[in-house]
Amino acid sequence: MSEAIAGIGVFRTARAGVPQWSRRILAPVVILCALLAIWSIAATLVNPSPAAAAAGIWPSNWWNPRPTLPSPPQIAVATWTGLFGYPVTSPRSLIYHAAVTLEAALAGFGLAAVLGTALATAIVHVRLLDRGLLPWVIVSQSIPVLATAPMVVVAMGYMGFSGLLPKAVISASLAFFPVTIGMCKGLRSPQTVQLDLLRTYNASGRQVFWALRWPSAIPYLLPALKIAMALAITGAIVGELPTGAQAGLGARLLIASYNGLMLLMWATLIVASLTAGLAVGALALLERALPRFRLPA
Amino acid sequence: MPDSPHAETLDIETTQPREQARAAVVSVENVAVSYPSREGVFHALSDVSLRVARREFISLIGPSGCGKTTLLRLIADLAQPSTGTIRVNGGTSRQARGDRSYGYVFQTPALQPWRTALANVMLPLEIIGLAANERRARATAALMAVGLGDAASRYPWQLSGGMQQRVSIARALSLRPELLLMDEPFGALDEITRDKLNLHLTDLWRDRDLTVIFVTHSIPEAVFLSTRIVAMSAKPGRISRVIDCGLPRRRTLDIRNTPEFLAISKQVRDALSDAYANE
Amino acid sequence: MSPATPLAVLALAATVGIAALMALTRLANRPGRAAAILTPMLFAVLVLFLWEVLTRGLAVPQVLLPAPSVIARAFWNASPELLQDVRQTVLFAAIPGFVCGSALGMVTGIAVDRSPFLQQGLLPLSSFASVIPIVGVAPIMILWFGFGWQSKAAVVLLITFFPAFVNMVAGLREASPIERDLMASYASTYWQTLWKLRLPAALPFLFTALKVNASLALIGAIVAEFFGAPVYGLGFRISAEIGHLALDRVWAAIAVAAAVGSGSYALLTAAERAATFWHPSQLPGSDRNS
Ligand SMILES: Nc1ncnc2c1ncn2[C@@H]1O[C@H](COP(=O)(O)OP(=O)(O)OP(=O)(O)O)[C@@H](O)[C@H]1O
Ligand SMILES: [Mg+2]
Repeated sequence: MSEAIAGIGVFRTARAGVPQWSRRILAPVVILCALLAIWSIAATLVNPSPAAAAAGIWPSNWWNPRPTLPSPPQIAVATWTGLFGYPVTSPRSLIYHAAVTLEAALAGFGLAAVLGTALATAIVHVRLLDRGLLPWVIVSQSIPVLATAPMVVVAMGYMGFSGLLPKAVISASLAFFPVTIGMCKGLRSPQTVQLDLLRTYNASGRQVFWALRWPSAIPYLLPALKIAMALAITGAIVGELPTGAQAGLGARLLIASYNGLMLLMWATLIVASLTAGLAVGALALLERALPRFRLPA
Repeated sequence: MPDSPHAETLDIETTQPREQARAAVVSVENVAVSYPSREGVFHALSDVSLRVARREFISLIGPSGCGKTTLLRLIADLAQPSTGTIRVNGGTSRQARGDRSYGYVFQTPALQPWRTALANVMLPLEIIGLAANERRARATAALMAVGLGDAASRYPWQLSGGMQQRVSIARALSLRPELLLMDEPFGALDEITRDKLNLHLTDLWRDRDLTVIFVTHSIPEAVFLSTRIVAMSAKPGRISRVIDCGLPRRRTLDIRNTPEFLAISKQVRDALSDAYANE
Repeated sequence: MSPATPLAVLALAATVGIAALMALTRLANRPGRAAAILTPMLFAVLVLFLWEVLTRGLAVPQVLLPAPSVIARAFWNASPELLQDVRQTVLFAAIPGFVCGSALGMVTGIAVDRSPFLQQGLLPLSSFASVIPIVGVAPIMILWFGFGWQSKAAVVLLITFFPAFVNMVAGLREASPIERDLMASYASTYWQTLWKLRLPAALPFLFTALKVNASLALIGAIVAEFFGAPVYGLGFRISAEIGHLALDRVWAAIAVAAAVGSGSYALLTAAERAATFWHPSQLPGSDRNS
């Protein structure tokens, strides 16, 4: 038991900022390798060996062209070919499809960030919106907004919009809620005494906003934006599922699904994950670059 | 001892009732504050009247929950009375706040963590729209006045509790108010730091002709700082006794060993014991 | 009904809208619980009213936006199918996946509790997993488990695992050193401390995970059906009726999904209130959005 507590103590200090680089990098890498090893073994057990033991690369079960569980090396090769095996303008290039999806996701993300911040500002200042609308914004977190994606595509197609815009709208409709709620919390985070202080200066609503509410909200904004970015990318991918979109990771996934192309599914999935990881990682870097302050206790 | 104690005592004597009516900086008349509660109405303050003349130093002292903070917030127009009137500088408290005619020091420093000490002191000057160089000059001067000239570029978390509280006093002084409202500003500090800041505060009060209303739980602090001590009692919150404190305006810490000081302390203690006994 | 001119409809909507907003503003400024509950309700009624009047009065094509009454009728006519859809999507896919995924995540969280190395290794991987579009595994699961509910439940399980795991790990760190020292002073065993102190302290985190997972489970089950499903299921219904441009039925299916989602959220919130009544966020006067 003492060991467990000591262990947690170690973790706490790590979180408190004492750099434990080796361990912080090493642990996930070791775990990842272990998972890949288990996976590889499973792949040898699950996949039948191809009739013509191809290329003589051992073990041949890893290279079955129609695998049940593709082996990690096989997925790696498929992903690599998808990314770099074709010119980026080719409809077989995953870079091309990732760019199509990312474009829509970023457009939706930008829209959501602006609208969400604006709505949160309005909610904080207008009592009617605070009491009438905010409860619905909170409830809407529990309803599957993504289910409306096919409808948005069809309705916007009817109005003559196709391609990027419907997907961006779907992305924005998902990303919008966390931004709004995060910003509402952030703009409300100043303590009463801080607000009272500004009242003693007879500060105007606008002055209170820029001198207190906005800077207090920044620590809430970036985590919300990271969630919003992840949702925007999911939204763009799901927006590509209905009505047979030609391009984008979602379309690629659907084609793979219809044709039972296991390897293409995995490759697309990995590229989608990398895209999301990079986009959210960029925001994490931005978060680090911003000046940090401790919130009042 | 101070150079001319008699002249100083005379100052105090000019703050007797008749003149007070004319020169009142703050006048509170028949003020009551009540909140709806489960058992009917809760009287946070009931029939409170108080006049504070220019250059007075008033301490509010009393049991927890007797309405000291409430009274201060009424004067500052941070809360409204249920009945009664409050005048500050001859006008309403609303006007006084609009004119930025007081500085308020809260029980916690309430510094903005993303601003340095200097930037925190500049905050009210930004609000009133002073030019940048004027802001910097005034804020620097205010920080010097509380002895923190060399901590200007530090962030709040790099300052000790006492230093943070001094920054918040500097922030209140930077507006150059004539009236200072202070709510247990030194409540969380150790005795020695508290002594230092008390000494500092009397100097500021005397040198700048400030009027101060000061909330505290400490009898020695109240007696050391004040020209008058207002003892309050709870349920309902009201003023139970007002004790004049005829110590000279120029004060050093040694004054605490004088018989006058001890006599006033005893008076305050008795008043407070009564207040507690009433509970 | 005689067809109204668009201008007249707009005028009516604007008049009613402005009058209602003014009345609602007055209501919103009133203190008290009744006003806090009535305002959003009446706000919703106003939105529904304007929706109905505008879509009908301006003859908005059904493909764009059917009127609420049209949706209600579609709901009524399609209710037997919708009931079957809910059974397929919620009862067979979302709930089993949610239960298994959340339980597995929490058990894993406890299992790695004694190993800081495993925690340090698994946490970054899990936070990466929370960023990626996991729903994309749906076609893989369909290849493995077929078109039925099994593949959807598997997707849901995978999606709900990570929030449960991450929150369990975070929750187990919540008990303060003083509280642990107190338990240690009783010479309490690891499991006693876990059971009597650290798990109760972790409850707010676990409920956060469950609430997140409830909505993720529903979304996962529905979107997985977009990739292929038998002839029922909410996601199937949505994509099939879209094909016939029967937008009123699509909206009816979405309304059902929304009701299931908010219903489960309400249930979990009630359970949370009962189980963590002692937590500061549950005490009266605490910030209502936290
Ligand atoms: N907004 C409010 N609603 C209800 N009751 C309140 C409110 N504000 C203050 N009170 C009550 O009014 C009374 C006086 O409060 P106040 O903060 O003025 O006390 P205080 O004398 O400053 O106490 P302390 O020395 O503990 O700071 C308290 O009993 C408090 O509970
Ligand atoms: Mg107080």
